[in-house]
Amino acid sequence: MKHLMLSKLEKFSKRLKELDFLLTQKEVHNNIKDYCKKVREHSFLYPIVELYNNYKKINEDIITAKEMLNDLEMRNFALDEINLAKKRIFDIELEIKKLILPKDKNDKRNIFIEIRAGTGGDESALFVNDLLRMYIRFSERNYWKFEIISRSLSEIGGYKEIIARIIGLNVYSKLKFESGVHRVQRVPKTETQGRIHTSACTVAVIPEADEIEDININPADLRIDTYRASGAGGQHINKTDSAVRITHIPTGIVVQCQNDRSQHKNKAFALKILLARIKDSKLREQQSNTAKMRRLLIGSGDRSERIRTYNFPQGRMTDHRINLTLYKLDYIMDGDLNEIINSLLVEYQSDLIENFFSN
Amino acid sequence: MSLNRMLALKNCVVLVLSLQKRALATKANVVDNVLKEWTAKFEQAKIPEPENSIQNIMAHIFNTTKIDDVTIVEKNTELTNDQITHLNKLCECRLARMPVQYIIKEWNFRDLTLKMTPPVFIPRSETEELIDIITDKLESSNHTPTRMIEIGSGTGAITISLLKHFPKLKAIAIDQSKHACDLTEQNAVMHNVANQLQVFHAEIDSKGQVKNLQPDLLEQKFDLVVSNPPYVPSLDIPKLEPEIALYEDIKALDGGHDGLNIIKPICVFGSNYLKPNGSIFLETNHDHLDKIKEWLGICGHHMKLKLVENYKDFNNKDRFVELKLVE
Repeated sequence: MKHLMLSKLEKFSKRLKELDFLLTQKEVHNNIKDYCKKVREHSFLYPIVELYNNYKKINEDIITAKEMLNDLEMRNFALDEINLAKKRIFDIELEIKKLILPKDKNDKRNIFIEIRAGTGGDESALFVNDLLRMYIRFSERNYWKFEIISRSLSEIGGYKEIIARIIGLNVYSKLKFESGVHRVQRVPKTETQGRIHTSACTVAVIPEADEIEDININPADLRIDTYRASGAGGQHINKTDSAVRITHIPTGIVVQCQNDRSQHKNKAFALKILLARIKDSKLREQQSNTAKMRRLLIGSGDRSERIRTYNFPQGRMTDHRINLTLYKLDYIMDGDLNEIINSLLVEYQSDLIENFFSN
Repeated sequence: MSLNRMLALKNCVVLVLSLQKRALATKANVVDNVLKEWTAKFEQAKIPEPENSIQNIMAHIFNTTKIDDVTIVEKNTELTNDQITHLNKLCECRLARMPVQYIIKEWNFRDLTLKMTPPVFIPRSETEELIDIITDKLESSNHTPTRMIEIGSGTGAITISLLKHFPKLKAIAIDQSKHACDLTEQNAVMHNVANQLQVFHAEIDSKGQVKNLQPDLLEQKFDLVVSNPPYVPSLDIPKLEPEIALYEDIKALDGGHDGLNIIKPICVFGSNYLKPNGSIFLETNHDHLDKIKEWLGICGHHMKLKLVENYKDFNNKDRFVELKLVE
């Protein structure tokens, strides 16, 4: 276990003893607010210190077992003992981390992913295409369902914007660090003199919102547009274009959906994205506040932050948040994102732990 | 072999494969090119919804209901010769103004994919909302219907949606067209509600009586009478697009001089066969609301029938009415 963590756990166990004592004192009981605060602190610390005591005991066991290693008769027994203890220590560390780390209740949710062309015009729109393919392949590897919900084409075959929904197990927990500006450096197909261009796309990953739990929308705030607006409607018209556009008037958020053959379903989908976006804008506000407070490197929720560079001539991808460079761009563009995502997750968690212990 | 060399070798293979793919992508039979080609042809022939038409036909070729699957996911895929031949044949039908729904023989209604065959009336988007209106209304009043009848079931869209929503509901569906009866039956089987449904080839007459229906079927009264009856005024029929006028059953569209020729008999039928707390839900023409009110003003009392609510569609046009018996 890291030294920082151990010293903090030592502090915890001292504090717990202190609390045990304080909670029996009359003066504390007289101040209800203070009392409640201390009880909460106690119930937070108790299971952690319990595990920590266990940890210490097993460590002692290991030391005794190591002494026995010199004894030829006991050697095998001692080795078994040590191996078992090491495994248990590993488990306990994990348990402690779980208790300490704040939980993200969105982790299990499905997501909407939005990829938009940014600086760099056509080349940027083409890169939207590549990113889309990368995420589709990554979803396939995870057995997630990838549904494209809305797209707008650019002139030369790329996309100005793509919105998709990814459904599966723990989607948000894996993709939540993908939000931000993705920069690409390469020779565009449109470039005739072989010069390397730099352009960028924005990716936004938004957890799905529960209608009832999270947000209420007043139907009067919505404007709904379809392609069937003119004429007598009903039996007089037979159209196949089922696109629906919904505008949320107070926030100005516009969502368009055309992927399903049923207009009714397109409308339901558009509404779902709208809800997710409204909730997301609130969430981001919150996140940027906590990120500032905790000085987190990752997960700041800031979508204007440049997070990655994909450099094709050098065949590398660099994540700027953790300064990680991988020289296997082909594989990454083919959806092999596990290495980068795991590195981000580890960094994020240790970041959180460090912040937690240094406060 | 060292790991590095293996990786290098794999990179080479990946490169070769991607080069091959790129070489293929320049051929004419690639989805994206075919889409563009047919969009242009349709545009030139002044076919309505040129781009959407070919996208839906292409999706059908790829056995998917989502057009983005072909416009995005498969856009660089090359079509086989068989696929091209099949696609061209279907597109010829579109050039003859056949509705896309008949060409690909299916369409979606809310969550359901339904079979479509000419000349059975193709459900419109407006009718999707009728289901919400009926289910919301019944659920908010805590009324679980057990017995319904649909007059003019067509593809079966309305009845099947309601049967799916209320598993305890039993339905009778009638239609004047044998084709429609068969299609309702087929779609019901496909969506596992055939055991809740009886379909009869029968027609409602101007007095609100259903001919050719065994009388014992009407002994028990109904919680729900639902219909999307023909409501296009006869004078508007010649103005309809060829997709509708040439291919869809005119009897499912033509509602007589004011479009009320079938609506009125259905109301009369309801007044005779509705349970005391039952409702009639109808889809109507956008200008029918006042006419129905006026008509009920004259003979509603006689029929013990009143209009309890009217609803607008997504274009803010008067589209649905709900009638109940006067207590």
